[in-house]
Amino acid sequence: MRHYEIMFLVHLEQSDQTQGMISRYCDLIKSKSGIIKRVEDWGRLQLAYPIENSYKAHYVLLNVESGKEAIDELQKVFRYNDAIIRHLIVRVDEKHVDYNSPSIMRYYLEDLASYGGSMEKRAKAMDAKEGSKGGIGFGPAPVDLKAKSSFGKAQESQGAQGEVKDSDEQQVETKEEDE
Amino acid sequence: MSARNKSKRFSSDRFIRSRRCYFKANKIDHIDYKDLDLLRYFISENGRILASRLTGTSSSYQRKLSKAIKRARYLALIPYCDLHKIK
Repeated sequence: MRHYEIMFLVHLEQSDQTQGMISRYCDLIKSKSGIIKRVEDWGRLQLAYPIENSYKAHYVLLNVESGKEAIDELQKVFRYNDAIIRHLIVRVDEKHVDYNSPSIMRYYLEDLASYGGSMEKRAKAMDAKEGSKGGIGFGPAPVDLKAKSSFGKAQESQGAQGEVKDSDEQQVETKEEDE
Repeated sequence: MSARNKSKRFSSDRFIRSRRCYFKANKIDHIDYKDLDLLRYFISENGRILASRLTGTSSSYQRKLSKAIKRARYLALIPYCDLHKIK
């Protein structure tokens, strides 16, 4: 059976009903002989741009192994439910997902929480650790201590070796999954 | 163009082209659209996807990367541009 990753965003006003929605959709998938591999409720996050005049939404991630009928049913439900403002169903390769560990977004959110939920503070702190602003792109380089050579040797600002991911890994053990 | 002329042409760019593809160097084979730090590294200040000639990304990874960035944009995890109204 195929593995799918389902993400949907619930409008802020119906954010309280999210738990009920999650359990209903899980039951729907199980009734069509699907298996729920992982459920993550990221809670209310700030959106990068306003959707339907609101700046926050409730994010939910579902990893599922099922057949076609369950996914088709779910798509119909998403389309006709006004509370769901965005949804994305993607097929994933089993090899690329580790269901035992939380998704990478969880690590990111925990790290963000350590800066008080402010993305600007986190960006500043990451820049400060590197000692300079941005390498190639907008954000500082994601941490990779194994990379030997820096990117773009001629530019002195690129010494990209931050340590953010270390703090994330320490936080893994203290993590609790929502469901 | 000979190799010598090519290097002269690029030497005046603001960013000097990286010699390595980030993904090949770090042996990443799957680019997750939820990995925001990784995605933000490859977009510019105004939110545009950077060309692979600037980042040194190889073509197959550039395609996967742009797909991941577009998915993340759709889900409002990263912005499309820098002119969005953010409260």
